Order: sequence, then structure tokens, then C-alpha cells
Amino acid sequence: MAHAYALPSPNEPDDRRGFISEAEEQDVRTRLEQSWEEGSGLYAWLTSTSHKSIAKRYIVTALVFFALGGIEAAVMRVQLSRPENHFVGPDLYNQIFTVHGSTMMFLFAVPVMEAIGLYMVPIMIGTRNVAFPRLNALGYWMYLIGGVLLYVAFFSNTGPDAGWFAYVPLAGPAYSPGKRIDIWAQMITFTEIAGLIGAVEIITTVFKQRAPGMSLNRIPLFVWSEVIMSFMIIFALPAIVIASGALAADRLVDTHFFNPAEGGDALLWQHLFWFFGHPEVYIILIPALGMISSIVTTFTRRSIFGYPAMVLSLISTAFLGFSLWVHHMFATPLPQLGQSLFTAASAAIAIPTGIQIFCWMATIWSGRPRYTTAFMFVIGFVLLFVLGGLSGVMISSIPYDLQVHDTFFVVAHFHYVLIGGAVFPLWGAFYYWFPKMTGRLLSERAGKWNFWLFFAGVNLTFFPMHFLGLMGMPRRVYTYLPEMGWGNLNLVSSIGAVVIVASAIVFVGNVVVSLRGGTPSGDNPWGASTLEWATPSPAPIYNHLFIPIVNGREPLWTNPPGELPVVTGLRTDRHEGLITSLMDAEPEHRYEFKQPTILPLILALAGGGSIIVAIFTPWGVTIGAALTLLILFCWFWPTISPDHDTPRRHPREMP
Amino acid sequence: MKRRPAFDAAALPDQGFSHHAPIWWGNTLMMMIEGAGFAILVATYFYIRHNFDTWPPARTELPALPIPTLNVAILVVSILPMWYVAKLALKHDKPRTIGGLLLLCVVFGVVAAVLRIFEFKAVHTRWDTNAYGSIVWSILGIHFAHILAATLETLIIGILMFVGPIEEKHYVDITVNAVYWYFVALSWVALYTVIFLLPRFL
Amino acid sequence: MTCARPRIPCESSVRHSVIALAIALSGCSGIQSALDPKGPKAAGVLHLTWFLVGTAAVVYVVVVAMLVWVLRRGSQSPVDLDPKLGTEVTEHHGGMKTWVVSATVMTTIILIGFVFVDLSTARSLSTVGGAAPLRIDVVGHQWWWEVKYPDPNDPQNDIETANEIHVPVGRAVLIKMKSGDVIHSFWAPNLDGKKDLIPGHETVTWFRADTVGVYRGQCAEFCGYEHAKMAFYVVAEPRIEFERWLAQQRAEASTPGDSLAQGGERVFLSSSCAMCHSIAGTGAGSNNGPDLTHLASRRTIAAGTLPNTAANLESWILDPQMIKPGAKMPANRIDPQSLRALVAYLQELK
Repeated sequence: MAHAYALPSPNEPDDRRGFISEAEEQDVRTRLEQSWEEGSGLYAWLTSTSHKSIAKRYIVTALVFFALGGIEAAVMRVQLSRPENHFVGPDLYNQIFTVHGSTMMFLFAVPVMEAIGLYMVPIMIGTRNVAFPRLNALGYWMYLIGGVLLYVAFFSNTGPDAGWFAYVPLAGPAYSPGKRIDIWAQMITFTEIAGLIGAVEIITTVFKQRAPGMSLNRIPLFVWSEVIMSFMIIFALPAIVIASGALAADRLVDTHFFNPAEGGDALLWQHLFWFFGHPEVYIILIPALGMISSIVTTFTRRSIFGYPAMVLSLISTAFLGFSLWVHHMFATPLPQLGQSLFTAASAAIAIPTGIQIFCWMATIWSGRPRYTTAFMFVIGFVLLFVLGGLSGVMISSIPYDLQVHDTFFVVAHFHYVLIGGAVFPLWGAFYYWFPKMTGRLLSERAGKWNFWLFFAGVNLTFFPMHFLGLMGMPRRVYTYLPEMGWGNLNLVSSIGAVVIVASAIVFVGNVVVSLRGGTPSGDNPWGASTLEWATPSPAPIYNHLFIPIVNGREPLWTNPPGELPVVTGLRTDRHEGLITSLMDAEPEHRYEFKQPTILPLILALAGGGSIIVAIFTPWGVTIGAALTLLILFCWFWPTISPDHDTPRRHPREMP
Repeated sequence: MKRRPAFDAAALPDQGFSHHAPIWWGNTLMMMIEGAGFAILVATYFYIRHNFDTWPPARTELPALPIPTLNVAILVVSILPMWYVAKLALKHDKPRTIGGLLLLCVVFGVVAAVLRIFEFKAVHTRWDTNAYGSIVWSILGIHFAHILAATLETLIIGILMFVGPIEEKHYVDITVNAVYWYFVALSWVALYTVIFLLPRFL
Repeated sequence: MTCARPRIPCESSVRHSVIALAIALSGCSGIQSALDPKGPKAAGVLHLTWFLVGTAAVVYVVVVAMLVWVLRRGSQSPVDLDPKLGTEVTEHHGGMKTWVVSATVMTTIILIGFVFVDLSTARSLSTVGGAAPLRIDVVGHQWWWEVKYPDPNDPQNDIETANEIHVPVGRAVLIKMKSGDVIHSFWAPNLDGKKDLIPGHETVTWFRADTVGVYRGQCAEFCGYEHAKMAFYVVAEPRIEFERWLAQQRAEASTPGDSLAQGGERVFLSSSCAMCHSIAGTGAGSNNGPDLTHLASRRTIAAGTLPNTAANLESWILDPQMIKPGAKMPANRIDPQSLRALVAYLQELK
């Protein structure tokens, strides 16, 4: 196994004996930079297959959508701050709450959770790119087109207005004329294709491309969470693809899936939608739980306690997440006995999440907490998510739910679990991984302001809503009468929204200032343990100079500091990576990553264009199918390797 | 960071077959996605069933059997040449035979696609007649897209076997394509049963 | 205006009144509030609510305390562990395992308790609370409530009204619901939880009002433009007054008394009003919109949006879109004199 690299040279200092010499490393670095370099300029940007480049686009785009969704929320809070307000009328308000929900759920939450994975997972597991780089690019373009589609519609007063879950028959052809809902249904098509693509990438990459020695029980918990999320996506998203397709068909070509007069059923939509919709929120939550594990490990300087329990509880949460959907339908005429099963399952899912929290607490107990901004966001998570989870257990009770279903109590619940459970860990992840992505640290001082304003704002905005719901205020109302007595609490809530906006401004300012002049971070500013911190910040396009080999869950803590065993012998003139076995990550064969190409963009434009045409005519499907098949022909036309006839030579011997 | 060489990958092969290959996983995950989709369609079929007193609905004949049964038989039979192709590909053997058999599979695929068009008529209903028509046409149509995609993919690789040059990774692609072909054929056995056989017994 | 955190109510009526007073003073009472039950179903749910809120509050406090405790204990740990032990095994290992296991077991026990209480509450509330319930049929429309009192013995005696339900105090009411268009949800929180109205399905719920009063309900499933303004009122009255109301509703429309009202009747019958509204005894029989036979007996118009006064009727008839934009009723070009006559007529329809 030892290699020519290991031979000590008389010129090498003694402390580098047995290690690859600096000159050798520089040589490899130069070659890798050369073969992986994508260039600058628009064409390079459009053809990129670099997973970090694509993931960064996803993250930035998702944050833009988050801001838009936040503005929509702010408008709603202004309208509701006083009874009988006239800030916006009913049509615009109904579009706003629909677009707010659709943006947050489809265009922000799932994409950003996948994107952080697409960025960090390959580095954390020690590979150079995701398994299917061109497919990854296609996913981003589809996502972008879908989001733009929704907002072009919204800004031209054709935004969907039947709620983010578009119940039929309201969203059907009879009661939502025009193209608003068709646009919504096709936006779903785009975002779900992108979501499925991301899931396939993450699973394949983690299963087959881990660093040697990274057996299943040594995978970082964040990577586990991304894999589990991805499996949930695989099984949940087809339901909404079919549901939205059926809705589009009902509207465009007169099918009768949801038309009770011809044997269809309004409840069928609810089943199909929520069979996707409930797992969707766990798809959003589970990666956040993974992020917390990374942050807690680093800032207590301890491995997370109870690794097997942590993995199993993530898996149980994923499975249980598929068995809860009817709790969205307690007010419908489904048989009570059946509904009761969903009460039990909805309560039961609190157990695995509880196990996660208890294990983190145990880890903190045994470790030495460091109150960085990232860690503060984890504390904020516990305080907010547990509150939201408790209100969730409350509404798992059918009689209680029948009072608060579709009221502001539920709005309070899901904002506490989504903001507390997903957005707070995400913000912690931003503060944690920003140095790895940019080479600079975010300001901790501004970070504390960001955190406290956000925390205070969330509580001020959403806590009063629990009472509003019990006091009779339904959701999705554009106004209310003064004599209902809801005015004061609504005003408090709206003031809270202002505080949240302030925290967002602090965050954006922090990012902008730190990008330009933040403290350079170095490879491992936090003294963390996982592989992403073993490479420079920002990570080079090829991630690691040599593929690392791991011998434990926290490789940087269990190896002597500053030392790492690595794999040699991979080609540097091609985009070559290492394929390892599923269970124990033993090296199996070498793999070539596809190089930059314009095909993903072309396919997205052609396929995307025909999906958009399908909003207006079913011929869009036929044209689209033909175009897609043609482009896929080019895509899959087997490429011939440049040195097809050349016998394999050792990279070191290449000129 | 000081790096100690501990494994030399130079001697590793370029490719792996079956579950060693990333493309195999991509295909498997795709089949899981599509399988989930088919399962949802079948669940929808049975859900809609509850809204009708008779099935198929009143004034709709039972779906005809001759052409659909012929088609499902063709799809199942087409597994045989594809299976043999995969066996040869594992051994990197006889590229032209592989190519010929792949093109034979393409013929099967084209025939199945043409027969599918007749199957739309065989169900004696339109997509816009009622919910029964809607779900039955959807199942037929979505699977139709699968037949087209699998046939096209097989065509591409089949042509390559004659045009060349052939590399080892193409043999991996052939074996993965074969698995997708089995999926398209066997999923139709299940869906054929639901649409054409079950109404006669339930 | 936040509620004082109420204590779990007990049997004593003195304590009941004290709590009721506290609730009323704190603003939690209301004519559309789940916190102010006026019947057994809402009361049962409120009991359950206090149990859930109380337990949840205790659990939350415990979790926060645990967090604070581990943070403080953690700050006393060494920064790095003995490298020989590694960071994967720690000195508290045994204690940590006990901690996680017991916390998980406690969580499971509490959740099982929750589910048990949930299910038994659900069961006790599902049995109709009283013999021979009053039957009411409700059909939901965009954006008003069609209310019918079917007479099982004689369909001629069926009553039809809109947006206002009268019930006798102390008697169970069985409501069968359908939708005329999209999904709506019938919710009067002082009396009961909500039930959806779903096209293609008939849904059933029951409630009983045990206190005389007027309670407000509102559609609780987004149903389009004016979902926010689709309210209804439940008037719970003593049985004698209820019977009187029934009899009044059964009668045909009162004949207009004076010439102004007669003129108004003519306006009604000759303009587009009769295309959507019915008034029993006049020949106007369309049910696109609410039945107006006894409009004047109702407290509000436009599904709870406005009090039923002459001025409001005039504004509404002239242009409903100013009050409830998107409502299915168009603006009406009508000269002020005819409008006054029409309103005078409508105000006689008790």
C-alpha cells in the first residue's frame, strides 16, 4: 500500500517523513485546478457542473424566495393589524397568502435543505462531486424556472389564490376560472422534479462515494439526515406530482378526478395532497435536525451521544411521517375509528424527535458549550420547536382539533415548528458553514443581534395567534369585524413581524459586510471534527487534494492534529473520483464525473417551456415529450473517453 | 494538513457492475419514484371505485381482453432477449449480438407502443367520460410514456453497439437499461391486472 | 387582551362563576369563542383544552429547565476529554444513557395519557346528547348559509331561511350539511367544533345550547373571495319562543301594509331581485340567493357582515361589491325612491 510518495527525500524536513511532500502536493494541486477549472464568464456559469456552484445558486435563489415570502407575510400582517383594514383587498390578499405558503414550502424550505446538502455532503464524505453532475444542474434550472413562473404570474395579477394546498372544488375548473391554478399546478411540476433530482443525487453520492473507512456507522449525522430526507422525497413527491397532474388535467382536458358529479371526489385531492404534504414538513425538519448535530458536536467538542439512537430516531420519524396525513382531515366525514389511529400516530412521532433532543442535551451535559451564534440558534430551536411540538400534540386530539383546525391556533403551531424547527437550525448552519463556503467568518456580534431579534420577533408574532384561534379567528381571512375583539392581539402580532424584518436586515448586512471584509477563517475556524474542515476555506472546486481515509466518526479529532491518511493514484487529468462499497466504504472502482455542458440548460428550457405551454394547451405535453426525447438522445449518447485507446498509466508518470 | 498515503487507487478498475455502479443506483431510485407513482395511481383507482355502484360504471362495457392481453404478453416476452443481452454484457461479450438483440427489443417496444394506442380504445371509455375513464386513461398514458422512454434508450445503446467505439462503461449502461426494461414490463403486468382483469372479478 | 391563565374548573358553582367572571373580564369571553362554552360539546372540549394546556405547560417548563441545567453543567466540563478516552466515549456515559432512556419513557407515558384522554373525550362527545334531536339542514354556498328546518311529517311545513339558526335551549340539534359549490366549514365555537361541508358528501354534526344567548359562527374552510365574510348566528332561546319563531317562519310573507311597501313589492317582483331570491307567496321562487320571506326577522344581512337596518339594506342593495367585493350579487341601478320603497317592503317581511 505504501507508495513512491512516501519515500523521504533528503530535502524534506524530518517531520514530513511518511507524508506526501509539499512539492508533490503542489503538483497535484496545479493539475487538479487545471482539469477542474470551469473558467469565468456567462457561458462557464451556464454550463457549470460543480456541485458547490450549483448549490450556491440554489441557496441564494432560495433566500431570495424567502425574502419575497417574508414580504408577503409582512403585507398580510399590515392588513390584519387592524379590523376592517383596507391595505389590500380580498383578491390580492388571497393571492398573497397562497403565494406566501407556496413560496415558503415549495421554493424555499425544501430547496434550501437539499442545497445545503448538495453543497456540504460531498465535502463531508470526501468526494469531489455529486454522482450525476449534469442532472444536478438540470435540477437547479427547473427549480429556477418554476419559481420565476410563479412570480411572473403573481406580479401580473395571475397568482394562484386557492391556498397553498389548493383544495378542490375551489381550485377546480368550475370555481377557479382562468390560469391561476394551472400555473400553480405546473410550478409544482418544476419544483418537484428539482426535488426528486436532488434526492437521487444525495442518496447515490452518499451510498457510493464515501471516503474509504467511512462505514455506515461513521457517517456524520447531518449526512444521514440528508439521505433520510431524500428517501422521504422519493416516496412523498410522486403523490403530489400525480395530484397536481390530475388537477391540471381536470382543468385543462376535462378529466373528472375531483368532480363528484362524475364519480370523482373532493376528498381524493385531500388524501393525495396530504399524503405528500405531511411528509413534506418532515422532509424540511429532518435535515435541520442533522444540522443541529453538526453544530452541537463542534460547539461542545463532543461526539453526539447515542449515535445509533440518533440514526434510528431519524429513520422512525421518516416512516412515521407517512402515517399522519389524515390529521389534516379531522373535520371531514372520515370514519372516526380510522381518524383515531392518526391521533395515536401523530402523538407517537414526538417520541423519536424527543430522543434526538435528549441525546443533544446529554452531549451538552458531557461537553463544554461555546455560545457562538450557531449554538445560540440551536438553543432557540429547542425553545421554539418544543413549544410548537407541544401545540402539535394538542391538535393531534380530534375534539380539540375540531375547535382550532383552520384557525390561527394552527397557524401559530406550524410557524413555531417550521421556524423553530427548520429555520433556526438553518440559520445556525449559515453561521457555522459560512466560513467554509466563503473563507470568511460572519460577525458574531451582529449574529447575536440577528438571533435575539429573530427570537423575540417570532414569539411576538406567533404566540398571540394561539389565543386568537381559541377566540374564534379563522385563518385565511382578509379582514375581521371590530366587535370580535381580535384587534389588539393582531396588532401585537404585526409588531412582532416588524422585529423579524429587523433581524433579517441585520442578517443581510452581516453577510454583505463579512463577504467583503470579514475575518479570514482558515481551514477549520471552529476546531471541528468532520472532513469538510480538512480542506481550505472556501473549498477548492475539487474539494479535497487527496481523498481522505477515515477511521472514526470524528476524523479530525481522532487523527493526530494536522494529519490525515489519504488515497493516492486517482487521475488528475480527468474528473476522477473514488467509488466505495455501501456498508463499509471499501474502495471498489474509479469513477469519472461528467464535465461542464450546456445540455442541462437546454433540456430545462425545452422541457420547462413545454410544461409552461401545457398550462394553456395539452399539446404542450406532446411537443414537450418530443423535444425532451430528442435532447435526452444527445444527453445519453455515449461519450467516448479522450484516451480510449491509451493504456492506463499512472498519473505520476504522465507528462 | 499533512497527508499520509494509505491506499493506492491506481490499480482499481474503471467500472463496476450492478449495485457497484452509481448509474445503477440512479436507475433504482428512479424506479422507486415511478413505482411510488404507479402505487398512488392504483390507490386512486380503488378510491374512485368506491364512488360507483357498478364497476366499470353503468353503460360502460368491461375492457376488452384480446389486444391488451397480447400486449402484456409481448412486454413479458421481450424480457427474454433483454435478459440475454444483460448476460452477454456482463462478460463484455459479442457486441454485435448484443446490438442485434437490443434492436429486437426495440421492435418489441414499438409494437407494444402501437398496441397501447389500441388499448386506449379497448377500455371503452374516454378520459373525460367520468372518473373511471380519467384514472384508466392516466394509467395507460403514464405507462405509455415509460414504454417510449425505455424503447428510445434501448435504441440509442443498440445503435452504439454497431457504430462504436464501445467502452466498458457502455456494458454497464446496457445492464442498467435492462433492469429498467424489466421494470417497465413487470409494472405493466400489475397495472394490466388492475385495469383489465380485476373489474371482471370485483 | 390576553387571557389570564385559567385554573382547571371544579364542581363548585361559586368557583365556576368566579372563573366565568375572570374570563369575561379578561376578554376571553365572546360570542365566537371556544373559551366560552355554552353547550356540552364545547364545554367538553374546553375541559380537554385545560388538560392539554396544563400538561403541555408543565412539560415545557421541565424541558426548559433541563436545557438550562445541562448548559450549566456543561460549562463545568473540561474543554477536551482525555485523548486516551477519545471523544466518542465520555465519563458520564452511564448517566447519560439513564437520562435519555428515562426521558424517553416519561415522554411516551405522557403521550399515551394524552391519547387516552383524547380518545375518551372524542367518544363521549360523539353520542348525541339528548333524545329526539331537532333536525336542521344546512347547505353552504359561496358566501352564505342556506338553512332549512325539515318537517318529517309534512314537507309543506319545511322552513327555509339563511344565515341565522334558531334552536331551543336544552334540546339536541342534529345538523345535516351539504355544499352547493366548494368546501365550507360550519363552526360556532361557543357550541361545538367544526365540521366541513363537502360537495358530493353529506356530513352530520350535533350540538346542544344550554344557555340562552346569541352565538356567532363563521365559515372555517377557505372558500374563495369572501370567505372572511361568511358568518352566521345561532340564537338559543327558550322553547316557547322557539316554537313561536318556527310558526312565524312557516307563514307566508306578510302582505305589504302601506302603499310605500306595496310599491316596494312591485319593485322586487319586476326587477332582477326575483331572479335569485324567493319570497313565499309572491311567486318569486329562485334559490340562487338566500330566501327573503322573513328577512326582517334576521339580525344581520350579507351573512353576518352588517346589522339588518334600513340604511345597511340600502347600501347593500345598491352595490354589494362595495361591502363584500366578489359577492355573487351584482350592483343594482335603482333610483332612490324605488330603493326606499323596496327597503320598506323588505323590512315588513318578519
